[in-house]
Amino acid sequence: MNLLHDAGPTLDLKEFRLLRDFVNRFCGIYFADDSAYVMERRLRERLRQLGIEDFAEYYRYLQYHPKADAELEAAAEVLTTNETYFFREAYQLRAFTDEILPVVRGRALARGSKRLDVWSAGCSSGEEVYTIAMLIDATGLFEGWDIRVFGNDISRRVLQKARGATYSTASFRAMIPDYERYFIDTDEGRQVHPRIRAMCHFGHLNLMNQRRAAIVGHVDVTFCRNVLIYFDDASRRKVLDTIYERLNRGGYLLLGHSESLLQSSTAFEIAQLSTDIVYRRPIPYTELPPRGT
Amino acid sequence: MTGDRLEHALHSADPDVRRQAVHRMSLRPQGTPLTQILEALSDADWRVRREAISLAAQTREKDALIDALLTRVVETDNIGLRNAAIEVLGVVAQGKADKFVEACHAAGDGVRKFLVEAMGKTQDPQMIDHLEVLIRGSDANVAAAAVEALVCIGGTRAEGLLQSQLSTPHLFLRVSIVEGLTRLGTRVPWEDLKPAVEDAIVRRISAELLGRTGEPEALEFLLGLAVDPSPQTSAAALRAIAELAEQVDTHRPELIDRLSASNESFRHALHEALLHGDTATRRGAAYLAVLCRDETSLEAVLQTVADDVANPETVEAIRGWGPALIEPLLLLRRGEPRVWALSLELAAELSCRHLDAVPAGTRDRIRSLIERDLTDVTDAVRAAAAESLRWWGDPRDCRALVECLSSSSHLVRAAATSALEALAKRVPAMVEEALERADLDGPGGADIAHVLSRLDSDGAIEVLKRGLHSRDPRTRRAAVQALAMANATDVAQLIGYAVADEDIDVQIAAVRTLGQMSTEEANGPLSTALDSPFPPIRAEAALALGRRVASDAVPRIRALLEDEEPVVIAAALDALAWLGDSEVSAAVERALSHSDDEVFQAGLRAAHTLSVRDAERFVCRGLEHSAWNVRMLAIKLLLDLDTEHTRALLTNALSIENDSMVRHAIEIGLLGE
Repeated sequence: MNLLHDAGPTLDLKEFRLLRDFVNRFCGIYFADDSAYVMERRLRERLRQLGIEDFAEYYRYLQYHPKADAELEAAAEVLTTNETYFFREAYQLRAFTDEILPVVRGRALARGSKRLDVWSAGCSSGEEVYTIAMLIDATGLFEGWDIRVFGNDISRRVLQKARGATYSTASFRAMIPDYERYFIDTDEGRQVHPRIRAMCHFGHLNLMNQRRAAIVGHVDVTFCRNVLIYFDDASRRKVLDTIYERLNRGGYLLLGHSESLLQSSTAFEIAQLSTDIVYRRPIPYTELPPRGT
Repeated sequence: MTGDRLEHALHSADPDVRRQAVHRMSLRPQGTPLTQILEALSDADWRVRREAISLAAQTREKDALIDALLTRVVETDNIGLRNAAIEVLGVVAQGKADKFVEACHAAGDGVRKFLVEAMGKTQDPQMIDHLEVLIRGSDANVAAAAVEALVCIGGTRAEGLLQSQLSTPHLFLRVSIVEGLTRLGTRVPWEDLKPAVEDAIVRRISAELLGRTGEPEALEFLLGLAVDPSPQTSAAALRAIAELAEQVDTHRPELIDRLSASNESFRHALHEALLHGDTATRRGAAYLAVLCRDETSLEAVLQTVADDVANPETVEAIRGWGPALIEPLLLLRRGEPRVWALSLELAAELSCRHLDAVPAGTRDRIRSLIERDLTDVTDAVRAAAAESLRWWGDPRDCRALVECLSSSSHLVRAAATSALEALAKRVPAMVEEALERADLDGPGGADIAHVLSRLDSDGAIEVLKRGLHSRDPRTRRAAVQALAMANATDVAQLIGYAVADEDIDVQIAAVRTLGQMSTEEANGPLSTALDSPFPPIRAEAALALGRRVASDAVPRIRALLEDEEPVVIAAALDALAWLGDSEVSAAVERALSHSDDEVFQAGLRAAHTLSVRDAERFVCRGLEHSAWNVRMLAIKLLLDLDTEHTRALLTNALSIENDSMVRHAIEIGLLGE
C-alpha cells in the first residue's frame, strides 16, 4: 500500500457499504461511513494483486469466485488494525498477576491439576502473548506447571511475526525494566527468550468462526483487549459467546480499558478486583465456597 | 423445560440459573405472564434483569405492561427495577406520549425525571412537545432530563429545540445542552454558540461544537483549550482545531498564520498528542503540525502516515509544505525505516516538483540516496527508492528497476512497475531493452507484462506472447490482459487458447479480453466458454457475447437462465437484454421472484430495456426489496424513466424509506440534481 499516493480505483459509497457488510459478516470488523477512505486505500493493493480494475468487480469476486474464501481472508488481513506492544495497560496486568493468577492456581490445584491455559484472542504480532507468559513466569507461582498461552489472529502475516518473536523499539514503548531479562539482543531486534517462547502457541483463527474456536480448548483466562472495539454489536455478541464457551467456569475475561460488555452479554458476571474490573464466567452456585471462607 | 421447572428455576438461589430461566422464557412461543416479567425485572442480579428486558420487549400485553412500568418507575425504591422499567418503556412505549404526560402530572417532583428519561429512550418524536414544556419548566433536574431525552430522540426538531435553549441562564442546563449537541453531531452556528462559550466552564466542554462551527473566530477559544492541563480537554481542542481548519476554505491562510504563530505551550501540546494521543487525536494533531510547519514534529507526523493514521488531507498538506521541507526530510535518515521511506519518497517528489527552488547539491544528494536505497534490506525503503524514480528516473535506472521486479516483495515490485511505466513514456526503447532479458517466470512476471503493455511496440508484443507460456498463472493472466491493452492484432486465437487454461483467473481474463476485441474470431472461444464448468466463466462469456451483440448466441444464453448459479442467471439476463431478446419479459418476471439479490437486480436492469409501461410495472417492485442496494438500483432506474408515474412512486417510497442513503438518493433524484 502506498500511503502517499491516493491513486487507483475509487470506492463509492454504495460499493463501500456492500464490501463493508460483506467483510463484517466474515470477520466482524466494522467500518463506519467516515472510514471509507481507509478501506479504499487498503483494498487497492488486493485489486492490483488480482488484476481487478474496480471495486464493483472485486465485490463480485468475493461473492462468486471459486477462490473467494481465500480472498476474503486476504481482505480481512489488510483491513485489520494490528497495533500492540509489550505490557500494554499495566494496571490490568497487575490485577492479572496479583489477583487472578493466585485464584486460578488455587482452583487448578483443588482439582488436582498443574496446568494453566490462557488465551489471547486477537493477539496481533504476539506482544501480548509473550507479556502474559513473562508475567506468569515472574510470579514464581507456577514452577513445574504446564503453562500454555495461546494467541490467535485472523492475519497470517502478524502470526508469522509473532512466531519469530523478534521486535523493534515500537513494541517496547511501555516496557517494564524488570522484564528486560526475558529478551535477547539480535541483529534483527530483541528476541523473546526461548524459555518464554516455549510456553506460547499461535494459531490462525477467525473469532467469528465459533466451530473452529474449539481449537482453543478450555482456558482459565482470556485476554481480548482492544479487539472488539473494531466490531459491530452483533459480531461482538457472537465473539463473546465463543469466549464464554471456551472459558472454564470461574474463568476470567479481560477486555481493554475502554470496553464494556454490559450491553452485549449477560453471560458473564463482574469481578471487582482492587485495581480493575474484569469479567468472569459464573461458577454454579452449588460449587461456591460457603460464605466467610 | 416445562413451565413448572422454569418457575422453579426463576426462584433459584443461583443467579445464573435464574438468568438462564428468564432467557428460556423468552423462547417460549406462548409468551410470558406479566407477573413473571415484572418479577424478573425486579431481580437482584443485573444479568437476570437484562434478560428480563429482552423478555418484556416481546410481551403481547403491551398496554398493561406500560401501565405497570409507569407505576413502578415512580413508586419503586428498587433502583435495579426502576432502571430496567425505563429501558423496557424505551422499547415498547412508542406512540404513547399521552400516557407519559398523564404519568408526569401525577408523579411527585423527585421522580418525574425518571419518566422523562424513559420518554427519551423511546426515541419517539411525538414526545418532543411535552419535553419542550419540561425543558422550560422550573425544575432543573427535570429540565436536564428533558435535554438528555431530546438527545436520545435526535432529529432536526430536537436539535433546534436544544439550540434555542443555549442561552438559558441556568449553567447546569447549558452544560447539559452543550454536551447533548456535541453527541448529536450538531453544527451550531457561531452566533448561537458564542454567547454560551463566554462562560469558562461551558467553554471547556465545547471544543467539538467550536470546531464544527467553521468560524475562524472560534480558533482563539480552541487555542486556549488546547493548552489546558487536562489531556482530554487538550486532545478534544486539537481535534476540533483540525476540523475547523478543514472547514474554513477561504480563511485557511489566516488560520494557518495564526497556528504558525502559536506559542511553545501549544506546540508542546501538539507534540504530546502526536506521540501519545488516541488515533483520532493523532490524526488531528498530525494535520495541525503540518499546517503550522512544525519541523520538530515532522518525524512524529510521518509516523502517523506510516501507521496509516493520518488522513489524505494531511498527506496533501505535507506536499503543500513545499521545497522547504526537503532538508528536514533528509535529516530523518537514521529514523525508523518506514518513516525514512516516506521521507525519501517525499523529498524526491518535492525536489522534482520544485526543481528550480532546489539547489543542485541537494538534488545530487537525493539522487545518490535513491541509488543507495534501491538495494536496501528493508522492503519499505527499497520500494520508496524505486517509487522515487518515478520522479528522478533516467535511462541508466532501467536495469536496476527491472532487478527490483524480481523482488519477493510486492511492495517493491509495485513501486518498480510504476517507475518503469513512467520511464516507458519517456524512454520506451531503453525500458524495452532492459526488459528483454527479464524473467517472465519470476515473481515479477505479471509486473513485467504490465510494463510491456505500455510500450506499444512489436518487440514488446512478442515478449508478451512469450508470457502466455509462463509457468506462473499470474504472468499468463497479466499477459492476456496486457495484449489487449497493447492493442495487439491477430492474437484472438492465442487468447482463445487461454480460455482452456488450467487456471480459472487466466480463463476469466481471456474471456473478458476476447469480449473487448472487435474481431469475429473471438466469438468461437467465447461460445465454448458458455459450457465451462466454472460459473464465473459461464457468466463472463455470456456478458462478453451480449456486449458483442452476438445474436447467434441467444439460444445458448437463454439456456443459461436455467443455470443453478445465480451469477450465471444474472449475467444471462443482462446479456439477453443487451441483445434485445424477445423473451426478456418472461425472464424478468422470473428473476423478480428469485431469492438472490444479483438475479433480482439483473431482472430490474433487463426490465428497464422494455417498453416504458412494462418497465414501470417491473422496476417499481424493486422499491419493496429488503436489500438497500436493490432499492437503490430501482430508484436509479425509475429516475431514469422519469415519468409522472415513476415520480409518484418515488415520492411514496420516500415516505416509508428508513435507510438514510436510499432516502438521500430519492430526494436528490426528485430534485433533479
